[in-house]
Amino acid sequence: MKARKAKEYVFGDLLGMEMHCQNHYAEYFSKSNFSCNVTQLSKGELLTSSICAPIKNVHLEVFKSNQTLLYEEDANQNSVAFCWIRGQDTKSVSSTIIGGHKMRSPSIAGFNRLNKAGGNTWDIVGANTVLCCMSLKWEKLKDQIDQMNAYNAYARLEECIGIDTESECTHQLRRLFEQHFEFGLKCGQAFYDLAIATLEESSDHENLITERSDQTDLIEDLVKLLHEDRLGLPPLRIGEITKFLNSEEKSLSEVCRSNFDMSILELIKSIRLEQVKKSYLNSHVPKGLRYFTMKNNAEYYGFKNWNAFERLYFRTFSQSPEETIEKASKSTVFVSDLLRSRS
Amino acid sequence: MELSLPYSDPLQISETLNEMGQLTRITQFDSGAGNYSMTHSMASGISIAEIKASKTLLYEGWGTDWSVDFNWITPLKNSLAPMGICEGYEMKANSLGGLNTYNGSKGGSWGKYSPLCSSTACMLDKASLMEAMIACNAQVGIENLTSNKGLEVSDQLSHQLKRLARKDLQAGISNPSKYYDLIICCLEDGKPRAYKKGETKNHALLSEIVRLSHDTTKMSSPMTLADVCHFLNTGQASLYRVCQKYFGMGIIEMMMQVRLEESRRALLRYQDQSAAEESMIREVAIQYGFKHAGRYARRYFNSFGELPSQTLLNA
Repeated sequence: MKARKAKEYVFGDLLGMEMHCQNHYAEYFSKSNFSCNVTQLSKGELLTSSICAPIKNVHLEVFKSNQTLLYEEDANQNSVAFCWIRGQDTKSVSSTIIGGHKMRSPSIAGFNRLNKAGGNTWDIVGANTVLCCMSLKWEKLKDQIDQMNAYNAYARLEECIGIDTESECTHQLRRLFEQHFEFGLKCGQAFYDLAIATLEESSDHENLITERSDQTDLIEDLVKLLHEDRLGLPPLRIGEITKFLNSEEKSLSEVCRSNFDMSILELIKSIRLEQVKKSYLNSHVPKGLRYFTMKNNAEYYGFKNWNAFERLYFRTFSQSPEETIEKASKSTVFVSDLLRSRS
Repeated sequence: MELSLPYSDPLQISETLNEMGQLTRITQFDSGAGNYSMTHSMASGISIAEIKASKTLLYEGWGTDWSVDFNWITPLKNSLAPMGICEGYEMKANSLGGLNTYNGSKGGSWGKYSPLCSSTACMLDKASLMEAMIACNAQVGIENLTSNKGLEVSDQLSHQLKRLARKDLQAGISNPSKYYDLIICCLEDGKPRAYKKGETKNHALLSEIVRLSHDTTKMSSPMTLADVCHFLNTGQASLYRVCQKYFGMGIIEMMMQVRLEESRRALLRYQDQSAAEESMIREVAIQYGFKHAGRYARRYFNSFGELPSQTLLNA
């Protein structure tokens, strides 16, 4: 399945994938300041693949990973995302959640990436799920909405995170997407028309809709908070998290269980573990320094007991911290190696 | 005597306008800091103010019980883009707006102006104006004043009015009766713009949206799209169409912006210095319908480029 300009990118680590996303997004949306955080939630060695096939003003991507991943990114005013799952059984519920909308076969979600109010968005992409993502430029979409007088679509975008819809235009949108990956389309206009029609039509039917609410706000904030750098301060305790979120531990636990299928502590550990791993993968820091600060980095993210951390790290990533550092480093012969060999 | 004041914040303009008797709340629709200036002059039975801003500003609460607040714009750039709206009436180079303040209640009018133009308000004594119109038997003018929001006047009259105001804003108002005469000529000569029925309905809806978004009794509860539709008894598509056309943004975003601006005003005026900073911010956030102080702080930063705590510090 190939569009003419389709390119497949394969990643074995999430730092590389984040860097790629950042550069790719900046190329597509000039002047953007996009960054994202990706965390591996399931255990085992990672392999992700992304096939990107952009056309003018439309970015189309098919994404797949062998592990369950958590995405966190700043919301913006550049683009609107429409995501759906390919080839899923109509009755089953997947573990994929886009922006707070639990994805089923007829689901389309991701509209809450569009946000002027300085928020963020998060997704969970279930292991081995094939996720289809379409990004449209907001300015162009807005102009189109004005021209088509499709203000129900506008209301959907501002108020809604995701919808389950079986409308004909949604099917057409999905078919067009698949056609593009098979034959390669040259013009992206039809994607805009069908996206607007999908949003507009969904307001005429009784559809399952996830609207923005206090509950969705709470999870967005929780995910953002857990990714924030503490600038040298000790990692947040659960009491501090509940205070920052103006919530209670019980509600947070329920939110975590229903969305991430894990306790709040497990979620915190997963995110911090990933942050430590990324610090080991950082190729801008010399390998020697990464070894030197290896234990300190773990401690910075709250793992005080090195042995326990090592065991957890290995169980999660199927490799030791040293192996991560080694894998991320190019083998180089230093000038000083010559002197070392003499002595 | 010219009194032209540069401002770094639209809230300071509303402070000066308040001193002139206009209890106006100003909301900036574009994010980031801008440049603002106001020149004003007063004499018996008249007050004129010209405002220039590098950002789009919405003024709500315009109108006093003693005056008719006429309004006009002076384009600063050549552009086909809309420059201003006065109570729903689209302001063009030769428009005279604000006629509704004759019949309107105190603080019942609003306007929105882009950086493409300066906006001038000319407050004339309501009773004196009507007296003068009756004295010169300006029947058409009276009809126009009492039944229209705005009029399109001739190039000549528009230029004459602007020239006079420009001169007086620099040198002080020497003869207030000149304004009464010129405005009466404009009211007599001006033609109402023909609007289709749907457009008139949109203008009415627009005014309701502005009023609802500034309603202090409703600010403390979070406003959802369903709530707004219920309060205004209209469909979401109409609300979005009108808001996008006239304000360039969605209805919820627009209401959020008004609330943020009002909360900033509250932070700057917060009197209880003994209260802890965190609880002050939390209290203000809740008062303006933001249930979560952290999220409020982020939205606030996005709009004003500073955190609520920094506003408190600079207050």
